[in-house]
Amino acid sequence: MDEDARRRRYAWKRHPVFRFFASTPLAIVLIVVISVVLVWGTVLGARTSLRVALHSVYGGIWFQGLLGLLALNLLCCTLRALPYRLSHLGFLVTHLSLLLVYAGAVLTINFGAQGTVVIVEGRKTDFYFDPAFVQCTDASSGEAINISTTFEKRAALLQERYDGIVHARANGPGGVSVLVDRYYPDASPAGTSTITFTIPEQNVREVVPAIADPDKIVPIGKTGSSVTVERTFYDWKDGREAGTPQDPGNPAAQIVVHRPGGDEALTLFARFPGFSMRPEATAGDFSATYTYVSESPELLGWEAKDSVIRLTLTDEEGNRVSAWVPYFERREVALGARRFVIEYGRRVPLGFELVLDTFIAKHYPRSNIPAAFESHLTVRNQAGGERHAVAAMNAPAKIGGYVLYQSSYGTDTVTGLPYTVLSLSRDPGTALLYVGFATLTAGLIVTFYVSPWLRRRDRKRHKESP
Amino acid sequence: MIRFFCALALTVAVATFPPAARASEAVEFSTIRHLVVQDNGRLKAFDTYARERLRFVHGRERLDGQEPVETVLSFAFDAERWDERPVLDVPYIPLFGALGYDKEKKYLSLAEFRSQLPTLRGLVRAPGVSPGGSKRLAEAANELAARADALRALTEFEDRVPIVPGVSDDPHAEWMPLASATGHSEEDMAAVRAAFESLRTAFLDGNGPAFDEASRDLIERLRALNPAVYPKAGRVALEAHTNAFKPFRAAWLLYVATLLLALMSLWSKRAGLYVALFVVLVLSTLVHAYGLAVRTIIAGRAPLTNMYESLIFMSWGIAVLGVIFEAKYRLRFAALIASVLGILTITIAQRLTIDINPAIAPLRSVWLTYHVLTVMLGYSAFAVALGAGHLVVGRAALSAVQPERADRLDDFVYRVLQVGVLFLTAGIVTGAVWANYSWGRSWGWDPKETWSLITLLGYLAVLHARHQRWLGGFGMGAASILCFLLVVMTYYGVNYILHGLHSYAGDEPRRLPAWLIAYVVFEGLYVGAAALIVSVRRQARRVASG
Repeated sequence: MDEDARRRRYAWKRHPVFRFFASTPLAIVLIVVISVVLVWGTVLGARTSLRVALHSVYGGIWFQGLLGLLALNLLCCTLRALPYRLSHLGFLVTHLSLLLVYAGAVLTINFGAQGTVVIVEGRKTDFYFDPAFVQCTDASSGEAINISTTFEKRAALLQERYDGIVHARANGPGGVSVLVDRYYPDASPAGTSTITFTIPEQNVREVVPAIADPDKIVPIGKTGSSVTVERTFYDWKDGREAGTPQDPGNPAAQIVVHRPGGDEALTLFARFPGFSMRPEATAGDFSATYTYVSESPELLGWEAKDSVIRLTLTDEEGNRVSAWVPYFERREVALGARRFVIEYGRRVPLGFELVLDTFIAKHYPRSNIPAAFESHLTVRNQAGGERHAVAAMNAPAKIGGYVLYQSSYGTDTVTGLPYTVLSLSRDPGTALLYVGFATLTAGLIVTFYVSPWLRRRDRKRHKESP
Repeated sequence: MIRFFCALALTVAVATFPPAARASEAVEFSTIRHLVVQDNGRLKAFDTYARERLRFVHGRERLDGQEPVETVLSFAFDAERWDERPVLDVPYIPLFGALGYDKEKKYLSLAEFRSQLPTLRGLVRAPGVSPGGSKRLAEAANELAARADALRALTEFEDRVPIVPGVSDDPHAEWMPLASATGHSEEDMAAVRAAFESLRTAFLDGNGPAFDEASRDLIERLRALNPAVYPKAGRVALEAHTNAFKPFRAAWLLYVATLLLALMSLWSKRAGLYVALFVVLVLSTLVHAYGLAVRTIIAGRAPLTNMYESLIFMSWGIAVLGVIFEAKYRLRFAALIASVLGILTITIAQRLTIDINPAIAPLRSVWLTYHVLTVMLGYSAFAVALGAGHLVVGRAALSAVQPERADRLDDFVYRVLQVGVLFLTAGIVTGAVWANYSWGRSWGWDPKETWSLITLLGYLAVLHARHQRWLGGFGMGAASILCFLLVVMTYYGVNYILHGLHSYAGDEPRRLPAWLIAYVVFEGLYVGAAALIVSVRRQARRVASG
């Protein structure tokens, strides 16, 4: 190809728009800007929580835009080098691998499945929870309406100012409309009554939810003390309940504070915070106040779970029904003649059955250093075949196209049996990601240690053949 | 010159190798060091156990200049003598005041601890509730109680120290103290107890030969109880030997020697001196590598699970890069930088917890090795670049004539930055693969992850700016100094500074350590002052020529 033809062929490279997107200064500016945003993200995450940083920085549309712009910049830079020579090899491989990694991440985010499997020892399950959706299923037709749980973001973003009100609507077949209008997240006691413990001299302020449960001992922050909420009253009269939720006259909470020094019983009155029935209070001691929040009657029968939503279903005939659904739970409601099953954390069939035979937490001998966490499972497929599988920390189990990771464990409050929490994923981006990772590293080696040599050789040849 | 070199080698050798057991000593402890104790999840040499316990209880390995094993045996066999002796190291100085002692006091005895129990209980029970109390005092009281218990365990050796292997072949099975050992035949146990009794007698009598004989007998009989799980004699001996030899201390001394030789060879260009420098540098690297290898054998895993181990490994990476770049550039600067950084990193590391503990469950993966190894090699390279950056920047400020073209020192900075970028990239990649393999997600925006990315992006921006000719030799030197602050933030700061920002971090906010502030200020002033001098001089030249 002569010089002229080449010029014509690559005329687009001189277009100002292309030159802007293919410029190294743009790359440097983008790298610096992205770094600064990341610094801000980590500081915000440390000040509030990772969830807030995820929603407002890393998952923010403008940060994704910056990453997209960097990807475009990378692509244009590789095109700028056309026509390629052997000495471009390292440059091309590193920059294209970054694009591969980017593509892998996009694939994972958009097409991957993430879920949670919870099994109590000795029990079985055949589904996983998909936390991304609330699902309402028509019991007779099987038609489902899905509502994305992105409404949960609001609570993370607003923090203390969050009022529990959300608005997420979806329409289904037959004129059915579903609205999620309340959401109370796990860590925040917003929407429930609370007890606040303070030690003014030491800047201690700890809040615990005031949910009456005489058998439960709730730690008061990191103070080393704990509290049991014995009983709450809508209208306290001489230690007896004289009111109703609709008519809270003198809301009070009867608590027992457990301290290493001994237990202390207290009655706290929401409307008379100065008047606590306490025989002896000393300086530097806890002071406790009860904050009463009048609750929706629907919430009263609800057993405390980590988070809860309220849904309202309506149809064309003007029928209307509301329900509170805690996370991981399922509720059935009737709307006119039809019945709907609501799942907060959509249940997705696994296609096989899992039995938790036993959960083992091993420690190194004569130490409190954890050595291993293992869920021993029996897998039953639909054909009736059985096999054993172990999902352990750092050794996940591959079952039927899914990978199951040991994530958490605990003791079931109802049965007293141990349960395991496995996280599950199906990730179509992994292959691209790993190829990108391998070529990226290889590309850097070529760029740093082969390309300079190739360039020197090119230059030498150029000199020798004038 | 040769005479000097011999003298130097001799000094190093004398300083490095521990003196042989004191000649005046009647009792020889070399055998009993090889007894095996199960402690904190590991089967360790009695020598290690004694040292670790003393460090915990007393704050240091030696008490009255005795061998650690001798002290611990004396606790065991002569418990009453120790009851009144001040041994317990108090973890928090204000605790002395809270207990009513004056500041001159250094240690507490077990008897004093017992008499203080009511006060200590009060402090622990009411964290921040009782007048004058605080959470820190409560923690310190708790810690003191743990130390007292550890000391008491040593005085109740037969009841509390697990030296008897179990019957099962499971290496994770619990061992038993002598008094409560079960499962073995009565005959075997009687022989073990008899050996222990003769050990006691020989120790109390100061009968050297009998003590040595009893030690051997006790270990052999314990091993015979369950040879399958009792660690190999060679492994235990290696551990006990390493405790005394202290390879990283030896490497430290050799780095000091390297530094001296590097300074001398910058002064005088004699070839012999340079050869000596290179040989000592390689020797230090080898001794350092020996220390890492031994620790790997003793721990049964790569020594990369905590701050101490990773810092020692980073230090070795610096030495290796020093050797490679010294061989390539022959500038003496690579050796100089490697020795200075080697001395610094080992000195810092010695302030951290050096006990060998098993890896916690989340870290038990082969990916841990790949990940930490590559990341730390990246940090090593960035540290070498930091050193070279100081030289480049310092030279630019001091010398009136600026080199027209990039010289070998500039090239050194650039090349070593490349090594850092390569390894840090590999480290982030292996970390992502590990996270994906173990938790099903390759990236989670965890602060450590994010900061490692920020660090890499910082160095990438620098490399691209050089490519764009925005940064010359001076700029690259300054950048490698400033970008290292990102490394410090990722490696150290994320755990301490970001945690301190957390709004739920407890009542006592962690302050920035003074050394960190001093370091950041120094680097800022160093680069700032040099940049000022360089620009003023350039201005002056322009005026003179224009």
